[in-house]
Amino acid sequence: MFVRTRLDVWRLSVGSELAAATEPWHPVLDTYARGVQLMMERDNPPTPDSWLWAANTHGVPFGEPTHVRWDQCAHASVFFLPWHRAYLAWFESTLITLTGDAEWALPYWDYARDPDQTLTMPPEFTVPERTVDGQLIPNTLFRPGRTTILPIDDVGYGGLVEPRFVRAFPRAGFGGLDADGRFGTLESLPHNNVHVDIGAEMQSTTVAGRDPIFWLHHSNIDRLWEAWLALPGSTRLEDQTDLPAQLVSTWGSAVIQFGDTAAHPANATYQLGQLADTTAQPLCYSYEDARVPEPIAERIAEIRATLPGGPMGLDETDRERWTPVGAVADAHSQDPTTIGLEPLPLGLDGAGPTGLVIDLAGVRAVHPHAQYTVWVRTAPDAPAHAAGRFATFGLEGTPDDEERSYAIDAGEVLPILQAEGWQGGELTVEVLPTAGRPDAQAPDRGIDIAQIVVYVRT
Amino acid sequence: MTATSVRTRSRPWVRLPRPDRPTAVVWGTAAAAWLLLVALAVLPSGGHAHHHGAAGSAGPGWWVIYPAMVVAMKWPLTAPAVSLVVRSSFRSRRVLHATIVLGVGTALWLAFGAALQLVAGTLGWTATPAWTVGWLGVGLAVTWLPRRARVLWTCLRLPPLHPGGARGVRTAALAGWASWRRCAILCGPLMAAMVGPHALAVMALATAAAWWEQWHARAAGDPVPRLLVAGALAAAALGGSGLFGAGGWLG
Repeated sequence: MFVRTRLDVWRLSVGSELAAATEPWHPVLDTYARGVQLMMERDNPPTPDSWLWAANTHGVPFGEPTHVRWDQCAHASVFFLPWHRAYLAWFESTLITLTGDAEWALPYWDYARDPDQTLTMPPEFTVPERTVDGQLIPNTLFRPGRTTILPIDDVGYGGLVEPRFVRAFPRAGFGGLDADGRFGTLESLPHNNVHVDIGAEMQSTTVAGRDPIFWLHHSNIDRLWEAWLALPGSTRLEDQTDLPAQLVSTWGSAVIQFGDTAAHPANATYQLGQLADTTAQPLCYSYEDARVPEPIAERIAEIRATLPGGPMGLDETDRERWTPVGAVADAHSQDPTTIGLEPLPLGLDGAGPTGLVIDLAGVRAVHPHAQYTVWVRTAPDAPAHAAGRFATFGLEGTPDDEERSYAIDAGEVLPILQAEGWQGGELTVEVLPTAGRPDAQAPDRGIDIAQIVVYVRT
Repeated sequence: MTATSVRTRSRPWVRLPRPDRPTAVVWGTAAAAWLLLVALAVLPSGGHAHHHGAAGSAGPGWWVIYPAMVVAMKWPLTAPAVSLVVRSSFRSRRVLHATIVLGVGTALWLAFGAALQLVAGTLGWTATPAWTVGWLGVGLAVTWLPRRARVLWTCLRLPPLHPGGARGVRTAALAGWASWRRCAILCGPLMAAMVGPHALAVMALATAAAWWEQWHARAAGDPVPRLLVAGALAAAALGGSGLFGAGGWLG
């Protein structure tokens, strides 16, 4: 069994736009471009091995004809990571078949590895044309309208701190929550951020798959899953003992199908159990480097050591220790909201809350800002503290009644609030476009929030 | 700890997580309903169908048996929604909101059954096993629909749940409606079959099919629910009443 290696795209890149436009590319990227071209040539009408079919499998623009196996991307769900793993594997196998390159593996974009270089989209994706056999041809990896430099704050390893794959609502696990509808920590950071940072097609779930950079982005997200597994204390869903039996059963029995309902060589079916080991059949790939950089891994270990329940976050009664203490309905971004709170529950030792989550549920928007920061104050005139950020990937380009919900873990600011004397009573929450972003001052954008609920943990 | 060692670490063969309190209450009540139904089924007076009444004739017995069936079959399917609603509610509202979720779902199923009784009575349909067999046949056919799995797992999501006040009552009711709607898609034809006379074994097999699909919501192409519904259909075709049915309408 041959195990292919997914490589860091920046180690394959020719390094500059001039070189990308005029010089031969690394064979892996050349094969990728050729493969995309071959898939695009099958788009009219789309077939299971065509580019559009692959992209539509993720999402379909509102109002366009669809198919039973299209528009099936798993977001805000524990199935986010395994579904995309299978999706990439299927895409990879299609490209391998069409190009005939059995050793080809999808590269990954490790945007955080060397910020001076890797925050920038590789030039093989930014030049409109390239030179092949002495001829200038359109570059199939190029898509117009993208932002090609990522903010460093949006691609950090913060999403890997959480040691448990699943947490009980309202708290996010690495892979998700025990109830669909909220994002896991990796899906929030860096996945959602990178989508809205690049913009253009990448900003919408319905067409993100049409951008060739999408696949390298998700290859990196998949790689970060492997990197998380290697961190001491990380606990897979299969090894957790605190989950509802129904969730465990649904996870273990999940089947993911791609292609057509009619027979086609490009059809593929994956059992969830086949997705645990990337080096085994049917996946057969590994990563050039699936480790968290050592200084960051050490920092994550330090943070994990301070978590309730220890480095593995073991607290099997976690579900029962979170409680809502205040709520407000029909909020809007940029309008501060003061929420009256019920008396804060005390722990068995008489101590105050040990966790704080601000849940923004039922968020809708026609034109949202790409990212928002949630600010909290102990009183309307008290200092504001940033509780967390979220990217609105999935709201732009979708039907107006499309909803997303965001559980913002404000645990880091809780000690600050308590130091200010906060013992409940009220909390002022303000959702503002994240400062410094290109659209932060855009006046015609905003989100409507069906409800804001404050949860505390005793 | 390396990635490889994490992947190959052994696991216990069986792991039964402790259910949370709402789930335990829901399942416990459903279990009591099952016991009641089994007891009624083995009564010498004719068991399940006798108290059931026939399609088109909702006698007093029907109003005991059918609600008990709803609790036995459907409440476990509502348990995840109840659990989430409870966790999303102020402590003082948890019992109320949980009751609303269960109450709305139960009321909708009772309305569903009563409506079918009314239609059957109006059309002059009387109790024959053909009613049950026919609806089980429909239930079997819909397991082949390509979109079924997609619809079932997308319907798992609940609307935003408010922790209290009038809005909390409304969102709990919406959660009950959403849960019922998914349940109706999952096994509406099977519940229609339950309106007619049938052996308890038929109900058990139909229940097993619905519960299996609920617990394997993303198992596209899974043959088990289909086999269970087919088994229920076969048992219904054999006819009879009571626990397993005795004799049949064919002979």
